[in-house]
Amino acid sequence: MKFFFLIFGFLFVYSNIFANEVNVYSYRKPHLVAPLFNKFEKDTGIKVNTVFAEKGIVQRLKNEGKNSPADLIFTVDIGRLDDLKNNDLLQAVNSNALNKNIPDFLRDKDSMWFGLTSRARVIVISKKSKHTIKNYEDLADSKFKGKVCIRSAKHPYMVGLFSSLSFHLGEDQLKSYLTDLKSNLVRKPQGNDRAQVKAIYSGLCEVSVINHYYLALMLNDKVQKKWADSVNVIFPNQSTFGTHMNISGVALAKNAPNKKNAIMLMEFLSSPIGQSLYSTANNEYPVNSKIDLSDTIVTWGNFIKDQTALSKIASFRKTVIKIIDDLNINN
Amino acid sequence: MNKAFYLEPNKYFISITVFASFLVALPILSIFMNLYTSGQGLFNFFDLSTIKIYLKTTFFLLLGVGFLVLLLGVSTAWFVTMTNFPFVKFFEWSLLLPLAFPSYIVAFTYTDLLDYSGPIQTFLRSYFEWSSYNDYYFPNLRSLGGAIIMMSLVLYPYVYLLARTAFLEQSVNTLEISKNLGKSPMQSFFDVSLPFARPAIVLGLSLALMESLNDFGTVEFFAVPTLTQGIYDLWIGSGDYASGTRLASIMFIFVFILYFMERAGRAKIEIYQTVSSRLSKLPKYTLEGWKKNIVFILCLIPLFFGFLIPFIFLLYLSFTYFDYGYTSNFISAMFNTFYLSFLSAIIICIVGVMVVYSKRVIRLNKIVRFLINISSMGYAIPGAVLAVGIIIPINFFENSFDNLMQKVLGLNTGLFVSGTIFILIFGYLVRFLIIPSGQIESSLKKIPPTVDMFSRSVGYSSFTVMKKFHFPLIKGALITSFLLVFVDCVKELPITLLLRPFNFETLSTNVYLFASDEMYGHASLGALTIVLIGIIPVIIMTKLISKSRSKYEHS
Repeated sequence: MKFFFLIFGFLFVYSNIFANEVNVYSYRKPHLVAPLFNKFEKDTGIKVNTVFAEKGIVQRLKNEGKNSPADLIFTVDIGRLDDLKNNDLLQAVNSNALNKNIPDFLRDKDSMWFGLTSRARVIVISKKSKHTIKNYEDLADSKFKGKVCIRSAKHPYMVGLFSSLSFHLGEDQLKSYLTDLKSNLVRKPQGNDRAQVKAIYSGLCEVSVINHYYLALMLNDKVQKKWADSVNVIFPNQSTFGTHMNISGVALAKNAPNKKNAIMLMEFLSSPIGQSLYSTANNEYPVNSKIDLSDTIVTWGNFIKDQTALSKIASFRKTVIKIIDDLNINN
Repeated sequence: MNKAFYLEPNKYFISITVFASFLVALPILSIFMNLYTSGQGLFNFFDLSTIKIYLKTTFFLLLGVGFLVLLLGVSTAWFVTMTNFPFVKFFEWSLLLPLAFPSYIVAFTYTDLLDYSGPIQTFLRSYFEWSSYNDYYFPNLRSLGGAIIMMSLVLYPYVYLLARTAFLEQSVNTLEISKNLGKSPMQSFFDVSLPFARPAIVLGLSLALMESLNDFGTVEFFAVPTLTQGIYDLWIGSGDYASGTRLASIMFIFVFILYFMERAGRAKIEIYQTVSSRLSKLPKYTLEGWKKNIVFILCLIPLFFGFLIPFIFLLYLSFTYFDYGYTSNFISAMFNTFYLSFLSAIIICIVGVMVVYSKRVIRLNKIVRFLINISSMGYAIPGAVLAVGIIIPINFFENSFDNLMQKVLGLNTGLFVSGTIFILIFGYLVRFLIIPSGQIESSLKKIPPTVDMFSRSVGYSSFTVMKKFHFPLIKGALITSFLLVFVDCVKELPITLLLRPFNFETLSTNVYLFASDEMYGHASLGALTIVLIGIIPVIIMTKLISKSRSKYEHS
């Protein structure tokens, strides 16, 4: 019985032992955010603990309830930020620094979440392709029959894009668009964004749609550079509603135990240093407009972004997922 | 049985055993409770056609894997045991090697190998001067068929192992008679060997099918919509507990069928083993000419595709990408994996011994027996589903305990289990407890209870009985099960992925994260390490089999 108490005591102490820390639940892969957190740790002496999960953070927070160790949720995709907010898992942050650094349309109107970077969903097309492409709608054009690759249609990035199309074109248009897109696919949707570029490189398909920074990351990777070199990047819909943008963002958990440290980390991420680390290391578009872009993405020039409020687009997600299921795009 | 047989019940021992089996049964009970209490009107966002897809895929997955593992496992086991052909001694143990590969690793290795830009297709294109995808047909690995083949290649050893053990134990007399009656090898296989080995084959088959139902890495990676994948998506992905639970209740039909299949197989083996004659060496058929070449090739196929090819390719990848693979993250993941698996294996073996002893020496009431039986079901339930069954009651308990402590003592105890590696150990305990308890129980059965009774009646203390008679017999089983549990913990993916605490990656989660990001080179060193560790049980089983064979040869 003593043994039991010993273990119990150990667990109890263990869970309370670290004081100067901040706990992050992250949807972003560890190797993408490590440089940012390392810098913050060095500057402040506050330890950043991360747990990476591809799925399930909402469920985890719900289960853990008021004792959740999570301070910050680090996430990509507006839908997930929206989910967190709707499930009452966040608290508002009133920080002058955040409000100054991040433009209005990239943060929640109730200050529940804050965008940190934005990313464009761009079209990549093989340099060998005989065709030209300008808009997302062209992916469904019959000239690309048997030439299109996409990742799982139910991945948040695809759902985000399709939701934006649903908003701009209407639900019926989206249905026929997806039907045609499916018939253009050379293989069933699979792999991640990098895999699509690899598939184009190897000649399996000609055209796909990916987040812009993946291409930049690949251009700076010894192995994957040749994949990225095989494609041209197109910012779609320049003469219509603009290129679909999504964000990565951060939110303060409702029951954050290290609230002060958490807000410090949020402010750091929106500060010029944090933002330039983001843009140089990850090649994303900083939300803080005073920051220079990374060398790679600056060469791609300026483009017209879709300015529709992301929360508006996110509201189409449920119906879009239903349509994807009904049309059985993934199988 | 009279009362004197039982040991004087040590109250700590009993309470710890009851507590442990209650804990282990808890997640399984919590899943059942969820099934029972979940409400109606569920298919709001989730209609029947989607369920049908999950159901159909799972059914065909199990059917396909079942067919292939039987084909590969039974045939090779019979050839290796009953016939002589070149390198038969080598095949005896090497046919177990594919067991070292977790299916998610074999899946990603083949994906990279067979990819359009991988070495095989590139070679084919340059050789036949094809220029594009449209010039030829190449099957898509990321499909149901691909998943079936991947899983069968690494799961057939279950059938092989058990079928071979059964063939080794079959009645020599019957075989001799059948041979003397002029029956061909084929006839005596169908008339004598197969009926005798059927329970063992069923057992092997059910274990292989449980593994494929449990698989999460491969189906997620190949985007094959199985029930396990669907439940995971609904529970974890969209938080739709109601639909996820509906799906889980459908899946439990599969779980129960496999569980009872396995139980039945085991029960029958015990009956047969007691009547089988173990008198002389098995009569072997010596194969000549083209027959021996064909058998040689048939045995080479599963070894070649299930182990050699993926192993060599992994080796190649690990060397090529060594700088990407051998990082400080890799080292810390390896360290984490080792100490977590080591600690888990020790704890699981201790609990295993306690449960087995409670059953043998203590008079238990019905409720405790029920808990112990339930707690042995963990291995049949897919890890991803089990993880959800663990986290719900644990978080509930932690939060209630915290409330209580706040009220009574003003203390904030927080989530003192779920943020630590203890929740992982607990998850492994629920899933792998059957390994030590099964092993130890079967070796203890070799001592008739009358020995216990006699020794007790001549005045030995219960502890002395344990030390003198039981321990020497269970020592081997204990070491074996420690190693098996250790390796299973190293390979485990879904529970680790879902329950790991802050800043904690293991080899398997690292491999999965890199592979799911299309970075096979980065993943290869970790994968290779897991496979190398996975060879340990192969060595153990080889030793066990050769031991049981030497029994015949020496008699």
